[in-house]
Amino acid sequence: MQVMFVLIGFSLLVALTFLGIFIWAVRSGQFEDQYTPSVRAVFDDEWRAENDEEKPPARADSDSGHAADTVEHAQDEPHGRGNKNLADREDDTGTGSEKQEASTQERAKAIRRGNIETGSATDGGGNPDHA
Amino acid sequence: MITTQPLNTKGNNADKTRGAPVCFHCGDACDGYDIAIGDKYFCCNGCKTVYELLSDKDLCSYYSIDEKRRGKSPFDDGYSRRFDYLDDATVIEQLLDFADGDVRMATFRVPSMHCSSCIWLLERLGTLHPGVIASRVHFPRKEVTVTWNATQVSLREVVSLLSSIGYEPFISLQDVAEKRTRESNRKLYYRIGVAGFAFGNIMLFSFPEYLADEGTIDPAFQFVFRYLNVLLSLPVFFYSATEYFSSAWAGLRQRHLNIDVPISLGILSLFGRSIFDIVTGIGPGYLDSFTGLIFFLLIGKIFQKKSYDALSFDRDFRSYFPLSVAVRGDDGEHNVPLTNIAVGDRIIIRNQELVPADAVLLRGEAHIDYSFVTGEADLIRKNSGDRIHAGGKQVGRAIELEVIKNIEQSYLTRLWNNDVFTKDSQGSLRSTVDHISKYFTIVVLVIAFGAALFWYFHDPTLMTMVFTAVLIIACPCALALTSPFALGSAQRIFGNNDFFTKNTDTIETLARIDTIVFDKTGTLTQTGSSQVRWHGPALQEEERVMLKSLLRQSTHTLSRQVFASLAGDRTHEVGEYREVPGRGIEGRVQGVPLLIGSAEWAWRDGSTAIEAGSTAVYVSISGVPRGHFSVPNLYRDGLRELVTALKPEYELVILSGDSDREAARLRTVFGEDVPMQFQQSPEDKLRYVQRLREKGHKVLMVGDGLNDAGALKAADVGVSISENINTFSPACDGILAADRFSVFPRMLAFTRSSMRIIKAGFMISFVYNVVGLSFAVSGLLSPLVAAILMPISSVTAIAFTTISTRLTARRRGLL
Repeated sequence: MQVMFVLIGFSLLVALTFLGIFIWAVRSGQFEDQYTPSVRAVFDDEWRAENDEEKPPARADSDSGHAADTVEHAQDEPHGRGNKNLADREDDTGTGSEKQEASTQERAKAIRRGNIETGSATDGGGNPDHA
Repeated sequence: MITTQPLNTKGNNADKTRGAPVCFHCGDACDGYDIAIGDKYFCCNGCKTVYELLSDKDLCSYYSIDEKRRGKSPFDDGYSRRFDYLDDATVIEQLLDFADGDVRMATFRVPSMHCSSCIWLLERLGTLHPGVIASRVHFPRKEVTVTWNATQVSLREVVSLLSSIGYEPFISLQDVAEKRTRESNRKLYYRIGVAGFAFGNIMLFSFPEYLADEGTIDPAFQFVFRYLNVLLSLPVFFYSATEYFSSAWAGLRQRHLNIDVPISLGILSLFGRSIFDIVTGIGPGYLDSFTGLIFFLLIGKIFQKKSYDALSFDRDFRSYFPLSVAVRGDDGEHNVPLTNIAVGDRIIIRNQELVPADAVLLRGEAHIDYSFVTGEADLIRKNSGDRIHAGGKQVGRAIELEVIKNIEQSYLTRLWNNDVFTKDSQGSLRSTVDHISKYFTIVVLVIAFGAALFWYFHDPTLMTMVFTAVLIIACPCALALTSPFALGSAQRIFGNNDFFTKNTDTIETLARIDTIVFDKTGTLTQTGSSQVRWHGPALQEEERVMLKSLLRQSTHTLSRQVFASLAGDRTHEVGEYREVPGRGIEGRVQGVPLLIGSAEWAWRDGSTAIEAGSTAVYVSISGVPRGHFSVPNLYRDGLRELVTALKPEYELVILSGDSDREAARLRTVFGEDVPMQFQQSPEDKLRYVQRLREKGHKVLMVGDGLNDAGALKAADVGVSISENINTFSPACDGILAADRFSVFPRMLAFTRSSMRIIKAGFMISFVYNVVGLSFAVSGLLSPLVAAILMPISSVTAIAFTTISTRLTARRRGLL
């Protein structure tokens, strides 16, 4: 019967582990916002699924191949990702930094067209006042 | 700005004939096919820009996530220096949550976030600007926390970026004046976790003693179990339960027996008696009952703490005001923090900006929208030299003003100097539970001492046993759980009906209301000439001017509404003007005869279809029917029903800041006996409500604008009516969605039912107490009886109140 004491100790240990997990969960803010993560989880899947579909061939093939690829997609998809190349798409994962710069300029153009000023468009990012 | 018509009004003739496309970005109807990319049409350049921005970064999944609820079109006033004040070092410091090295973090409130697409896009800000390191949305609070690299992007640029995609953060003076402190439930969760952990384990360790026959349990096990229980209960007593002791102590110091006093007595005797029993070896103690009690009580507490994160119930004028304003000095124009504005300063107010202090118009054409103040959306035109009150919003070109009063001393803001805003007006009404607990505590103590006295003469050894047993079993856990669960359920049911209350006390107070004070403008009336629609072939510019000229002559409410809805300032002379009450107006403008009024009057035809909820104003030009305006009913839908439902039960009062021109119409709805006060200033309203309360009335104030803020605060309960829940309403106890106005009487009736349910719950808990007490006084309260009786009474209390509240709500059509 002495084994009971070991078992009791063990059961307490398990229970303490769960208490610890609970406290960790509260600490990490999981009880603060009980809505957004539920939505976020759905996005992540969709985002990944989309990448799985489109990214691998893009990385494997040469640039000329992409263009055709993109056009096809543009026709297939109701919301059209038409007039842009896949270089931008790689940008999303944060790979090429020089490409990021290129697209920043494009965005700047877009912003100017809409008469909305953001600083990086005019002074090239980074305001010395805040550094 | 480009005006658009909401998508949900497809019945619009103009739409049908032209087949106007729907904006690909925001879903509003487009004016035409002019703004397009490929086969996608946009209602304005702003929407097109956002689309380009997103497609540029391959973020078009945005549109497929939530197709029904499209994006927001960015607000573009053509003024790009709107956010210049965010370059000010003190402002930056106040807005930042965190700054370390180059990394900055700030939390912005984004009221326009409304769907899952918004979350998706806002969390991908880093894709739009490489300087943004991370962005995270807290949807219930409508907040986004952005982390960025200060060498790549500034705070102003982050805000501009958010605005450029249609999610302009709301940054107000209040945000800066007092750093938001979020009440966190974390501590309560920890307490519940610890109590639940101890409760579960102690219950398991107690089973052997309960189930085994006397003496059959191995003494070694008995020893281990009992002392493990003591060990486990220590954190519950010294951590989880501490709030009850401090609350009881605070109550006692104010000579007030609140519900936590008997609870603390019960906890103390439970714990003390258990420790005594275990140490002396008399028995296993009541530690499972003790921890279970704390566990259930804390669950009740968290259930009651339901809060609506996105809503704020304690806003004052500062949350409407911007952080800074442009001041014209000798050396040009600069942004000055609002707190530094002095009398005599020349300020420049641009489109959609608020006038922060009473001022005189120096230059420019002012069209002031006082909707923040009065709830009325009509634009008021001011001329040079006119006085403009603080809180008005300029619509149109920039104007220059001279400040004539300090911000705190302005017409509107002066209201906040009143005492009601400095002292907490609540507390005059003690909750029912506290009221009962006073008598409860006294009765329990009498029984406990009586029983102790009885046993002192019969069997002194049992005296302390019985005394503690009475305190243990009388511990009002069921009593304490009844009201959190009943009121908490009621609060959730109200939430489902778009009536959001600050806390559960509000519901209790609502049940005791005997007088309801209504504001008129914006509360009883629907806001906005913006809802006036033209039906018929589109009006030419010249026709519009002619109609406007004629309408200007009339003081009729409908004329005024239609007049306000027509754009432009030009008017002509009107000849042969005639107004026939109840029928319409006629006149000649530049030789053209015009008729405006009822169908019979203007069209010589009484058989036209009329939209529900609105009045049609017919127009004929040169004797030819031209079309009609549909003007939404002046009073809210269901006002008549509301009055019929409320009048037998409550005293109704109307306070209006307006002139009495509508008194007669209001009389037809409210009857002759309802007191009506007109031309009430914000202070008048406040004082009126205070006087009512001094006479002993329990007052509910229903208002909407900032001018009601004083009255809302002074009343026992202030409910603010809001057309859009996510826009800001003045400090109040509850926010009611305007379209639920007609359901309001049912909700008020429901609060009374809730109180009846609470009382029934009290009866149930008394029955348990009587049963338990009979065990206790006869000295038979074994740990097993306590272990069964106490959780059962708690669970019954929870189940009964929750289920009956929901059933009542269903019967009343609130669920």
